[in-house]
Amino acid sequence: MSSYPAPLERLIRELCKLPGIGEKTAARLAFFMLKENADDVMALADSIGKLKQALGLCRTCFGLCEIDSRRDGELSCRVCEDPRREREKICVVEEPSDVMAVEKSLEYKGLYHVLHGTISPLDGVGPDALKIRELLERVRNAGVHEIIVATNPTVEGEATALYLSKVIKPLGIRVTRIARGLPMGGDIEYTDAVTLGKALEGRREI
Amino acid sequence: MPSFVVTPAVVLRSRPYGESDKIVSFFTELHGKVTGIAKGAKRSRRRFVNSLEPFSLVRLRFQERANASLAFIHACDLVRVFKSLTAHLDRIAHASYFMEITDGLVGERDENRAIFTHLTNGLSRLDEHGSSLLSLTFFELKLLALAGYQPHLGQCRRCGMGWREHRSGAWRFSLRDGGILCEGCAAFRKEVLPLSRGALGAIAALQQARGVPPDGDSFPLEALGESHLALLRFLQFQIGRELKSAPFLEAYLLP
Repeated sequence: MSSYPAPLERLIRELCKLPGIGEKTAARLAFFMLKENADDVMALADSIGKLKQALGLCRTCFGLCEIDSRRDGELSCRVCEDPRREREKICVVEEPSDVMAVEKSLEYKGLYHVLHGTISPLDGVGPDALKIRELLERVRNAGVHEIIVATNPTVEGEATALYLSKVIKPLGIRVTRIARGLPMGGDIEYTDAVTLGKALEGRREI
Repeated sequence: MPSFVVTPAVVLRSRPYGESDKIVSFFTELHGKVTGIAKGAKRSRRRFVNSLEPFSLVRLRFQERANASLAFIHACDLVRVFKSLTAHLDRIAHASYFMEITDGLVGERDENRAIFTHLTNGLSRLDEHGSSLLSLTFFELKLLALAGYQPHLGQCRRCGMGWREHRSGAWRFSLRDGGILCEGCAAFRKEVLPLSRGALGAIAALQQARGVPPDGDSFPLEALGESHLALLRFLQFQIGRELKSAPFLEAYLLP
């Protein structure tokens, strides 16, 4: 990398830290920025710079939210503030990006709770390392009727779902798990045995 | 160019690596522990679909790479899913512990078919019959023996006195000696744990059992609990670190 001028080398080094970006791609991106007009490059640099300053975690659901400087740095996300959302349902997800994925489905109108991880015995991650205590406080204080567990269908996701069911059900609240099965446009012939088994297990009357 | 190897294997652990890859450790029937990189595993719908989850029995196809410690994982087909393992928290806790102690006790490429059989049998029993202190202790003891760390519990490791013949006196399990010490000899040792006669009897009976654990009613729970704690400490001593799955296991020791 030493053949590059110092500012370019620094940018390439920083870009290399991004996931999926190797040295060649980083160099290509850096040269692309060099060719772009200064306003576009400054806009990119500005949006990266503000990412950490303007975004925080919602104090209720722990999803991503914009920090509102007009409201004394209030941390509340759009979903939690929306009066049209069904407040008796909470969808529990692993990461903030999962909120966006569920929102894209346009099927869900309730609230969210982001755990920021999953229970993983092999990594030594227990319930205390996640936002489970906060979820229980929420469930106890608000009029919640249903918790929809939307963790990934992995060993860790299942362990988290089972744990949530164990601690929430005794509070008299319905705990459901999102269904697993065939994707739309999929082909049964090429579906793996586990997914097909789960699809049959979760069949419903039409 | 090294050729492909195809072998039955149990997935010990799987962790993300970069954008779309995974680093996966297997215990294989033919080549012992194999750790490799599965390129594109997070996105793959053909080569790795559902087959890289811990506790799965798979048919692994891998290739050794020259001058690299990680093998190249080509494909993985699911042979058996232990379905009820992931439907109960206590079974997840026990299975995770099985994976971690197997991973910790064996080195890469240490071929050991008996451990493979013991591991698959342990997962089957857990899947079909659920978790119990008895099957946990049995798994620990047999794994230690098969990996070459069998604890010596017949006589004092220093003076040779047998615990069955001498009815009086307390016995200690010495991590460093890999066996029991009589009261007198234990006075000179650190890292010792008290072990009752009940626990010694339970461990001795379990060490003699072949294949499957004996009838569960013949062992008091207290003796099994005490045995498990001693073996856990011994496993941690041999592996050289605290086991990450141990606190979760303690919370779900019983179903």
